[in-house]
Amino acid sequence: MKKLIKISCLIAVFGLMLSSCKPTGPKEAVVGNAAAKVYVAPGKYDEFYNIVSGGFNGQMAVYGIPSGRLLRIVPVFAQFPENGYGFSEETKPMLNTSYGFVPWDDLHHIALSTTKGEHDGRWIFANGNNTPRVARVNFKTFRTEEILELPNSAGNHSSPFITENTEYLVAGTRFSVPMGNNKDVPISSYKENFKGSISFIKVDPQSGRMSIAFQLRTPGLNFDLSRAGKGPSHGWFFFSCYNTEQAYTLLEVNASQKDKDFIMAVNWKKAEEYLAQGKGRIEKSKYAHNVYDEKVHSATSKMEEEVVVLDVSELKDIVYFIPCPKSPHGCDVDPSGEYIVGSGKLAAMMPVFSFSKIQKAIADKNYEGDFNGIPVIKYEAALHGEVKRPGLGPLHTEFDDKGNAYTSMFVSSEIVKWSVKTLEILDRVPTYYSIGHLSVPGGPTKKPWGKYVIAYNKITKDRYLPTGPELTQSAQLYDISGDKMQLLLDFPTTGEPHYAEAIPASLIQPNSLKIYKLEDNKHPYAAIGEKQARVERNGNQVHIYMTAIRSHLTPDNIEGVRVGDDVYFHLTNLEQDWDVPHGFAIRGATNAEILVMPGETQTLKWKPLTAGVTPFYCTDFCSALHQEMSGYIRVSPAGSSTPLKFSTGVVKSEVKDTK
Amino acid sequence: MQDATSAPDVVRIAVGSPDHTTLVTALKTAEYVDALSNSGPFTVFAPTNAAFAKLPAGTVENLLKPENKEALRNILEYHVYVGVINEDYIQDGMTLNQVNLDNVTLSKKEGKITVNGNNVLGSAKASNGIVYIIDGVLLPPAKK
Repeated sequence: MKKLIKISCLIAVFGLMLSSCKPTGPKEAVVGNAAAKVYVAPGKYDEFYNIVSGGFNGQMAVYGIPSGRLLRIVPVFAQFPENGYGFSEETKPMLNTSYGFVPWDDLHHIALSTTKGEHDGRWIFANGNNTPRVARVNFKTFRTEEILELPNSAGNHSSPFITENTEYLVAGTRFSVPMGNNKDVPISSYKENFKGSISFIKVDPQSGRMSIAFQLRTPGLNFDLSRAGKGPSHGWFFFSCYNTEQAYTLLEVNASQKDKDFIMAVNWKKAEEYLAQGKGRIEKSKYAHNVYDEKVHSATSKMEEEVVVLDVSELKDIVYFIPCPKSPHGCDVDPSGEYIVGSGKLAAMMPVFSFSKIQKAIADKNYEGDFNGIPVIKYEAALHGEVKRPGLGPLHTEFDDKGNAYTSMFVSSEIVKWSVKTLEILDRVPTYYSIGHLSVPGGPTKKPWGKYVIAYNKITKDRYLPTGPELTQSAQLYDISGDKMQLLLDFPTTGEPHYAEAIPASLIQPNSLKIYKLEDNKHPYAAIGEKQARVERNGNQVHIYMTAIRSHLTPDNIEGVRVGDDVYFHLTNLEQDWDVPHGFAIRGATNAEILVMPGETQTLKWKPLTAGVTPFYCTDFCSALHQEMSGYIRVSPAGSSTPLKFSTGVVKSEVKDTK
Repeated sequence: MQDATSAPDVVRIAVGSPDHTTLVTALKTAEYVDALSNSGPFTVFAPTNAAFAKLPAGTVENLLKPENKEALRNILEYHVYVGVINEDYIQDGMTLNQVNLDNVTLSKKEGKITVNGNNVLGSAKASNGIVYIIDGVLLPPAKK
């Protein structure tokens, strides 16, 4: 095609003519009483908590709705120098994996725990997309309490979706990979050697502790998203699958060849039966399980060794495929549990499947064939109906309390409201720009609260003051209480928001922890009171049992530390007063600061490299004498005989070497 | 979206070409400008003014009437594929499932590319995809 006329040069010439053909932009976007609807007066509370994934920042963020105010950033898979998460000795084990310490991940989706299909306000689950992991955050503390690595997974995208009573959360692999003993195979042997994996993770109903109950081994393809059944479909799980072409290069082209990919329906009760019959095979696989124990304010990391695998090509009746147009992304189940919405991100219509029809099709063996030995149900046999021409690039669907569905359209950048029953399109509003996920309070549960839909956009371009090439990420709040959706507010988000959920504040606020009780603090290095403050040497380890209370650190003069020592500052915050954290930082520390909540103990490790006197101080402005809350540590050369001493106010006598 | 610095998207490429005024009018009439200005990625087959002129007399005028917006949109969507198919990736006999859900067939013989038998006259890289200039309007197959 050497003769091709390259016309891009024309752009320069005609560039000035473009103004007549620009996208419509934000005109008429905000009308009337929008400001009043999002105004939360100073000192008043928001009605909803909005828990928003942070994508590539490895964190989640907590916003108030309707104000859009950022309330908290919760570090999950990423180190957070702001409070020492992943830097303190207590929290480092949280980021341990079979690959070693992995201080970052890509957090895409969150799932709030449910009981009887409704939000119960106990835990937030999240996925780590890159080094496959799932995490659990406690709603009492908004802290990450547990991280479980997922063996045999290669990109944990289809996760962490949960069942009606939080019996399981799932983790489906985005990428299929070779598994078992021989993983060193040609990439071109995808069809023979690459397998998919879906972990069913059991959640202890009391403690929330997670464990892999079993893994489903599937044919090689890509799992994208999923939702559990509920009500009549409780006991089933639905996953969107793409790349049924089983392409392994240039997926942009090669994984978009077929008109239809699949929704995979999983009968997990059947899987449980096989498991009970001992039909699972045990496979050796190393994966880390990290748990934070609030009693000792510390995490431990344990390496697990094996998983139970159920092969769905061999064990019949666990898995069925349903054809779904063009690379389905979202796979969402309506509040009744009867309808499953497939969103083919390259399709111009959306099929809505009927759970009862799927059951009938299975009973009648109404199949069009099989895929790697797994029955493929006839499209028409499973179909409730199609939403025609909803927009371009349907991605995700949430539901309100009135039988309506809200689907995000990435390519055409809009939210489309439609009736689940009649499949008629009722309204559409533009988003600015390129919406990904969306959230209605309670939207994925049996009991949506409705009221708002929040759009999480991929592009902001001209919506905010520019900050160089990297712009803020954003969300947009729409009122859905009327027939027509109304844009109320843009608000910036930290990280790139993917999925989010919103929950009434009344379910969270009364349970929020204010302080850690000192008498419950069982940290082995806690100093419960200044009388317990001390310094101990153990070989080249120096343990400083330090306390903090307004407005001094005890001890605040330390001598006898030597170059080459490992110095551990174990700081216990003696305050028992809500919102009085103390912090600790020391010059030259190569990690971070630590923030210590009232009644808590946290440890910062410091390795002095040169002799001299180094100051340390409290980093959290705690009182009018915060600037005075500081101290000095003297470091002597290696091998020096400077005696170990510590004091606050008065110089105490020399302390004995405990070793 | 105010942005005169970025590389042009598929719409701005069409707007920048004097040979595509009919197409641009059609895109505006069908309110299809915003969608094609977003992230994409798109492969757009862009018929020239001459291509539209080859249609039976009155066809274009008829399609631009408000009551025929859906039909116009269907035709325009038949010219758009979500994904970037660069020339190198085009294989003889390749089919693409277009936004309106119908397929087009590409052919590549001795370096000459056609789509449903219409000649590709040139191509232009866009920020959000690629534009192939074609000498005929693609008409979706009649619905079964």
